Amino acid sequence: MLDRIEFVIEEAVVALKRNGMMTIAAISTAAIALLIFGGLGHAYLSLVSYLDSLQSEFELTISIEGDLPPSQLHKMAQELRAIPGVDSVVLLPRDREWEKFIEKQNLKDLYAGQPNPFPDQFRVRLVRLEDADSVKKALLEHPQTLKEHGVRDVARDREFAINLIKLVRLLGGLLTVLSFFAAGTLIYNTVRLTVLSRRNELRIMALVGASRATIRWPFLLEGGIQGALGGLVAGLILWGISYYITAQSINWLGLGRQAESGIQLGPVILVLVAIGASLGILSAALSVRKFLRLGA
Amino acid sequence: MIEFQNVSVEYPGPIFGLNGVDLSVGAGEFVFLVGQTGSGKSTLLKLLIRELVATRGRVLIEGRDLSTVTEAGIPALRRQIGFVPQEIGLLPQKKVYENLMYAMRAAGHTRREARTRVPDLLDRFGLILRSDAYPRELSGGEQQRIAIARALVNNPKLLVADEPTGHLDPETSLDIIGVLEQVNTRGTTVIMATHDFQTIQAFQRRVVRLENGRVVSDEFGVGAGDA
Repeated sequence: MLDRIEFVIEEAVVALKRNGMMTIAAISTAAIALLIFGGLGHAYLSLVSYLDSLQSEFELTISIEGDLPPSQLHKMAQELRAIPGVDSVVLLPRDREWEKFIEKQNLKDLYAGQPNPFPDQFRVRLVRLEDADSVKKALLEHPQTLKEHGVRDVARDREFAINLIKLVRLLGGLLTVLSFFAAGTLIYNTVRLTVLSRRNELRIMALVGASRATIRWPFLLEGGIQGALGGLVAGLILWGISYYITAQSINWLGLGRQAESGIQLGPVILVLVAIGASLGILSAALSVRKFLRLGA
Repeated sequence: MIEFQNVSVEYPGPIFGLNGVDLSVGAGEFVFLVGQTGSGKSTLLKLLIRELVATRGRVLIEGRDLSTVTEAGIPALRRQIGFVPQEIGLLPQKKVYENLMYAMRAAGHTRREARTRVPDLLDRFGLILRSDAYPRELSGGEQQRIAIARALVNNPKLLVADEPTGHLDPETSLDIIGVLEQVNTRGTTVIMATHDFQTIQAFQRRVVRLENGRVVSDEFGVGAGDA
């Protein structure tokens, strides 16, 4: 068994070397396809996660001007409850929200010692969604409401996020299909070139009674290696892009911390390598299929 | 060992590659298959290695009907038959030794088995001193010897050679047929297709003559010269 594997690997490596530039072209295209797929996939998952984090669309969040003592916060809550169309009012203390935010972002080290930028907030639940505009107007008129962006309409955030997700899904799907098709075609052609340049070997293999697996696997492995290398390159680029964006954001925000990539290198590379290898093997299998017929 | 029972092969056209061939070859025989180009020699050999299937009739090897051999069963069948193709087909980028190693390993033998058997084959065919040469550095006769050695990597009971002397001078042709005779004396059945009537006259062997896909004569050591 090990001897067979060794033979198959040797043959695949010979083919990869022999095809030189075509191999590089196939790896590059696979990398671009997987980069598009990985990048848009990452954006899509981030948006879905953001959407999940949004509150119910029956809720409004209001931010409070200044640092009010508990008694005044209590009084303000009562005033808000009195507004027609308001079902319930819950205080979101700024310290707890800041802690929750840091915990959720999993960036404890990055934010440690930074001043809390959150104001105290109230989560106002509506009786009916149709009351949103009138309640929002009343909340804005309250003297303690933060004047700029004091009321956050979650329903609009949600709508925006949903539209964005639809766009990313459509654009991502289209680009992924196109780029996968391009990468698949290149790997298909590269393996086809290998097959054509090795017709003599194939003929000898067939005549001496090589099994179909012995004939087929070097080509599948060649396609698989091309796809997997494409996945590896895409994973590294994606990780690098994410690292760069984080570093730029930290620099821009003046946090003075060390940057990290928002992407976990290991799992991302693993997934992209697996997808790339599958794409490569599938393309190679299609390419070599016709040449595997041994008899009439 | 081999039976052709009323075998016909029809190509689109329709053209008959073989037309009602009846032929029997016993184990250990040496048979020359002679005829002009297009007489059906190659078609007959291709039936034996299951590259073709008879349109009508049956081809049997040791009682097994080859039309029942599935695509998946072809490799096992071919490991029992050594085939020397018309075009020789040595791998130009591999040395003599590597050509045989490659064939053995492709056929499913381990590296260790190949390392034992390949030097034996090279020695047997007088090529041990040429094992590090590339095919382009060999004479036509030496290349053909390698092709025959390669066909024997699986130690088959049957060796089939398609025009192995087709591009060789008469002296080298005699040498190659001599090599095939050596193989035959070890018990391997040999079927050699050729259109070289002159050369085979020197050998007192069974000669089957084909014309237009039919067997027109089947004689022992005579008749070839009349062709």
